[in-house]
Amino acid sequence: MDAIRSYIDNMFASFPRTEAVLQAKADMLANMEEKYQEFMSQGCSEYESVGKVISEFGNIDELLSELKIPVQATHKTPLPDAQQVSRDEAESYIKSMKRSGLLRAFAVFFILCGVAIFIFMKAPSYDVEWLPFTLNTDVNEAWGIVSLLLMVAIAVGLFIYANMSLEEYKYIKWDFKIKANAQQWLEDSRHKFMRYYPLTLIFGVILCILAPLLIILPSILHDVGGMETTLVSIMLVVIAVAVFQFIYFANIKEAYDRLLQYGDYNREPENKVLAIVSSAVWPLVMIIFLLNGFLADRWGTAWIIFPITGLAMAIFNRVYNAIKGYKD
Amino acid sequence: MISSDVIRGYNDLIILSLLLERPSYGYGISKQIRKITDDRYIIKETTLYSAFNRLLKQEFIESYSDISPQGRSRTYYRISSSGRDYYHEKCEEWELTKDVINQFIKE
Repeated sequence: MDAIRSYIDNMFASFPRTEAVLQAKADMLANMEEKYQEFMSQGCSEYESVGKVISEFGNIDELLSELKIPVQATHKTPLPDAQQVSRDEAESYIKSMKRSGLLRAFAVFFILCGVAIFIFMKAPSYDVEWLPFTLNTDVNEAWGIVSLLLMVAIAVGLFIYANMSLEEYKYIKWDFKIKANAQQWLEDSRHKFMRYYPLTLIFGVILCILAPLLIILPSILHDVGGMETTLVSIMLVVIAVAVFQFIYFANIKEAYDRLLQYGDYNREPENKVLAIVSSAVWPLVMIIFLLNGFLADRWGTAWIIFPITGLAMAIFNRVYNAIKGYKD
Repeated sequence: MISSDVIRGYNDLIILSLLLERPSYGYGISKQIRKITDDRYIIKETTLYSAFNRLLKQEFIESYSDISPQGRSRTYYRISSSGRDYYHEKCEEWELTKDVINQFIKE
């Protein structure tokens, strides 16, 4: 039975993946399987049955000339061989996306940790009993800045490296086809991935919800006096963990969705407006945060701009898509 | 052994004549052809599906999906009224062809 399936897969490998083709392929496979069962029930061996079924398949060119004509009219240029993605290529693309997802996740994690360390070091020179050293405002502030800049530098390096390592898969954007044998494998492995993907989202969301409680709860329970900034930095680390795994798993999902051209990835134009807006907004927010801290010395509260901007961007995203969807 | 070149023009007629009796699906039709011709003509999968595709495009047949007795979803085909007309035209054409060719058949 598998022999018949892979025979059909091979025969249809060069066909465009239109609805008519896929339908014909599925129907023919079903017919051949029925025929095979019948040969088997007549007492033919498995080998003999497969041979007979395949010998009665015919000449694929006959079907090609019949099915391909209307297809080429809609598809301006037939895709060259280079733009067909084989199973091996799909596998290595997913592997690279996983790796670059990990790098990106670490990059963002480092930035957030950098900010956390910075805020922590900015703490007024109260004595934190459980630390082996006393915090001295000036020295620690300097160390805070150094570590923040260091983290940002590492993150930028990671981002660049992550993007560079994906350079060779540039052709997996919009105009490509998945070879038949890769399609099934991809659908299966995406299905497996999607079974635990929601769990990672839930875990991340729970972390994000719990993180602010780290500040709120101690403040309610007893006087934290001067400890708020420390709590803020711990909260940031917790959020960084959540963001880390959001980014990592989203990258894997993107790899599957891109290859299978699911959801947003089957539409030609990338959402340029949102990409431009967010690439302008986030550095701006970083600048405001730094200015607010250095010039106005509001380190304790300046960080609030990050969650606010995050929410604002999410709202903008939704509204923009809603309006766009309405227009379409 | 039938030469596929000769029969090519008449696959449409064969399929339409079977659909005239009742709607059917791919393997059902190829099974019937094999049985009626006593294994002398076995239609190839690709021949069958290019004929289906051609007949669908010309709207001589229409397809619909239904559940087979075994409970699987299957594409069935039925003949349209223009398909019936076309069938009769092809029958006349065959009568003529047969007569003409017969003129050249010597015992």
